[in-house]
Amino acid sequence: MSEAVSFKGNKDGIVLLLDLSVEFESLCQMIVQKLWESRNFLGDHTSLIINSGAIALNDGQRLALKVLLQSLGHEVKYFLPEVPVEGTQKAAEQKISEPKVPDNKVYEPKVSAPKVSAPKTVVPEIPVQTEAEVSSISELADIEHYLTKSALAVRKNIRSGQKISYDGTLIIFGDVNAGAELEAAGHILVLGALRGVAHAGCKGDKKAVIYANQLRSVQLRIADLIARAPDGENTKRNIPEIARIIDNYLVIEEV
Amino acid sequence: MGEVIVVTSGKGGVGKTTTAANIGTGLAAQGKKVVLMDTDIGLRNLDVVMGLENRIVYDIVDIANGNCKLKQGMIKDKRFPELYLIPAAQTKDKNAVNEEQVRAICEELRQEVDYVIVDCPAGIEQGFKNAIAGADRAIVVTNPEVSAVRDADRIIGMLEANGLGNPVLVLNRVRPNMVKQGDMMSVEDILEILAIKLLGVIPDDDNIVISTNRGEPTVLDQQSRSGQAYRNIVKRIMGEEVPLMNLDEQEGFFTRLMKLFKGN
Amino acid sequence: MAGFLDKLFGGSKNSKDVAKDRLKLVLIHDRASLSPTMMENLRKDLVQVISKYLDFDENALDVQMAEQDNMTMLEVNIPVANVKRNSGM
Repeated sequence: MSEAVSFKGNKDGIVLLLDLSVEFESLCQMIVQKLWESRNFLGDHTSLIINSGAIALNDGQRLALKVLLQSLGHEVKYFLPEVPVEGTQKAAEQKISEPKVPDNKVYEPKVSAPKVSAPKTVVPEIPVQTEAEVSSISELADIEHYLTKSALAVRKNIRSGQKISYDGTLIIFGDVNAGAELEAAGHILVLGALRGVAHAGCKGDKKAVIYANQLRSVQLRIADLIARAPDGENTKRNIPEIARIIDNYLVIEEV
Repeated sequence: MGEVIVVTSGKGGVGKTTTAANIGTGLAAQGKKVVLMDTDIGLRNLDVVMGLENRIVYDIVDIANGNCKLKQGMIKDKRFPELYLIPAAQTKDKNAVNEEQVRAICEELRQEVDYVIVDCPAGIEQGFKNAIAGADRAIVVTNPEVSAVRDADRIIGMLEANGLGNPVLVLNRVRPNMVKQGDMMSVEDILEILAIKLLGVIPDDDNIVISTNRGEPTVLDQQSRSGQAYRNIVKRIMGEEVPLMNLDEQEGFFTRLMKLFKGN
Repeated sequence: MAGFLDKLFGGSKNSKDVAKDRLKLVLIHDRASLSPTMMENLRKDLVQVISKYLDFDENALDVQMAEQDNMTMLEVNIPVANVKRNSGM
């Protein structure tokens, strides 16, 4: 299998080539790994062109990738193909919303383990901090637990009663269970299922977003806005979603 | 001036939280103004039993430490306008509040509502001391099992030592058929051993599991037997004399069939 | 079936009676148990009182709670060396 995430150069700079036949959530993880492996080659900050081949990425996917790259210290220069075309857009959506195993039909006791089978040395593993242990955020800054100056990555399932606070963007490789809490001054990305409470932009940043492979929180907070899941049966959808503030409303969209 | 009632047991898993939720909801259904307070810091559950977990912003630790006003920390129930929940904190240490703080919260609540129902954590440590700190009376929940009754006895002793003499008993998960066969201690057996006043008996009921799944206290389910038992308990708390329900009238398939025919 | 026959002929007790009896015993102990500090205080007080009347080795004095025939007993063993002649005065 050829690599789903690879580099190429063009006249404008470095291009990140993505194979969209891979599920978007796995793709995100592969990107993190790829960029981590290439950190010496890329340097601290690089503008990358994202090329998704024949199919254009949709808005949500673009946003997710922008956030992801930002949290890794880089940025997106532009996307190729440029604008999602009507026809191809549909194709793209179909591809994304069609998981290989239709797990909404086939009953599987899906204890979605953190899907980090591929990356081996993505980030140094750090112990989950309970609030009692996190004496101050600045203390953490001295330890080598980062991807970049602005992001903290944690490879662990965060369980009920555990809380992670961070002064930048928080990336979790694993599930965040009900009763667990995430709090970040920047974005929150959960490459797993998010069932606990997440508070992005906790210091007031209304541009902060929350991304999760499976967004199942009973409550989300961005800056000073709080949204709670509707009462009654919750729809368990296995699609990546992103939450952000649009016109002072907390909006959740499919990626 | 409201009354503060703590629901406690010593042993875990006997139905404290379920009992607190049902008594609180039942009192609210009778038109009383009620606050349910979860003091099980680090292992909160009253919120999910009540189906209010998606509304939590502040918790008891925030109230105790003045991070929010008491009113802000009281979550409004979705069924009754005068029923509130003060949730425990989940991500904090169980020593995050002390007895003085809980007592102060109880005193403040007492001015506002008719009943404060305090859900106590299992065990006899700080959480227990916190839970009973502001209480006027205590309800001890137990099951007809040796371990649960033994722990209930210990708790009764500790309540008395802390000025909460004369606690009342809720005997939960009684299975009338097993009692009849002599394989489960009866209400009388347990009262003989514990020598305290009985508040009520709750039959073992599948509906409890179902209602907990849904976050809807069974006391509101007119069909369920455990719901009826809780409604009786609520009336007794309010001072009404209600006879114990007959646990034997377990409706079999046959009697139900008969009724169906009669109905036609 | 065996259990049923046992019950029929009164061969064995109901399990609830076994539970009840066991509980009663356990609770007698639970209710009577004194904390180690209380036991130590009791010991000290006993030594004080008894030494007014008897000569004995303080370290050999043994105090414990025990159950016998459904009763809680305080057992005190004191190896006596000498009786004090002028005791009580």
